[in-house]
Amino acid sequence: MLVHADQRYITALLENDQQLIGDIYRRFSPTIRSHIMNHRGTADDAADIFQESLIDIYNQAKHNGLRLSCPFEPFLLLVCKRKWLNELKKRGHSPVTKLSDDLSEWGEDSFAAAEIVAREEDRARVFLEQFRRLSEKCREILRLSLSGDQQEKIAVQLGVTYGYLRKKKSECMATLLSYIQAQKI
Amino acid sequence: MAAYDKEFIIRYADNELSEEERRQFEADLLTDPTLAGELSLYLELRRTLEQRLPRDAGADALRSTLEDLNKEYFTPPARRSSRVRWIAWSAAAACIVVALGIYLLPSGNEDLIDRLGRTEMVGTESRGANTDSLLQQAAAFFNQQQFDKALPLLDKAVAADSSSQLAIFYRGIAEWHTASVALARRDLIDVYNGESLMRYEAAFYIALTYAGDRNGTVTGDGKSWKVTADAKNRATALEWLDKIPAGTPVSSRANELRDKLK
Repeated sequence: MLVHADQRYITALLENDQQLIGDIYRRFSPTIRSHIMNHRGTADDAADIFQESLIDIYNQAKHNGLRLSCPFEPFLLLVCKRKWLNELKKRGHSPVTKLSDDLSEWGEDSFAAAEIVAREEDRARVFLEQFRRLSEKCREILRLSLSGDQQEKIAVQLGVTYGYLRKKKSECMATLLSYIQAQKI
Repeated sequence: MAAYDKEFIIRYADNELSEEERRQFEADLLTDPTLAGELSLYLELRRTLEQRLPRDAGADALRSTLEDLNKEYFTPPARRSSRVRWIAWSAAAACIVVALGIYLLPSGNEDLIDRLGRTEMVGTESRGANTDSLLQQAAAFFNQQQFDKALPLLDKAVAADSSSQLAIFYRGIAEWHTASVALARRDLIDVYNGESLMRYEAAFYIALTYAGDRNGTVTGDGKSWKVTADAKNRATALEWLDKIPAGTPVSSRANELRDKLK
């Protein structure tokens, strides 16, 4: 895949390059702000959506190696629009725009890239929300077990046997899987 | 689907089955798409948690940058510079202050949010936990209102013990005082969702993060806060206050804030 020159904006997010991130705001925030304020939102809503969309893009770049094959502007706009549509649905409003219209307007590459970010980040959000529903003990066991440290060392740290740690970890994960499946994602 | 429970699938993915169990499971996997789907979901979940549970210093730094830029690009009054606009804004601000003054300044010159949000960071000894020099050092700065200096120490305390609700709670408050509201909420929500004694105090401070807007002026002891005029934020603040039952250490402050918001 040919990487678009606008990949520099993704790199800027990864490296917290304040100058280039300032450029993202200067160039692209007026469009997003205008879109959201024309679709039942406030300036505060626009700020939240813009910020959270950039964080989602950062997460996809950091954890899933996001590579842009399209310009950054339509991609960012579509990520923000999708996020705002979800927010409107949460607030009980009917969507006033259709994502399918965006496919023809902005092109397949931008649409597909934005869809991946939205879908992956929605799933990660559900996983983490359901993780927070677990008991404190379960969360501690999973947090430590998934830290990459040796399991034997973690068992000592928690004051339990290795066998108990393995059993409890499986139980906690199974509970978490049940919570997630109940969300029907 | 073959008769495997979730724990068995997890043990397969985590390499904890005997050789015979593994062979049988893999044979069933080839012919059972439901089983394969459940395994795939578990692998995705495990990968996501491995990636996202550890604190991400890069994401924290990015959030801080974005919050600063949000103020610049999404807060219209701060960007206006012409004399005419300034006069218009001053007049509007004066009207808002008159209209809201009854509950913005409830006791003399003291800012309501500042007053309700004031807290002392207790030492680890008085909570009955092990003495922790990082927390004690952080408490010294915190109690002198030097939240920017307390924050790095609280970060280290959380890194050293990610289950320390005490460290996460006070880091949340310090983040709120240093205008990192999104980070503050994340920490305080973690504490609220836990089972520590401070969960209702956390709920109260989450409510404060929605109830208060920085008023942008610098007072003798730093930037102060005002009750927000934004209806959505006020509703969210009230939702958090409703989570606090009677009889907790913050119940009376929660009632006072609820009365003001309503």
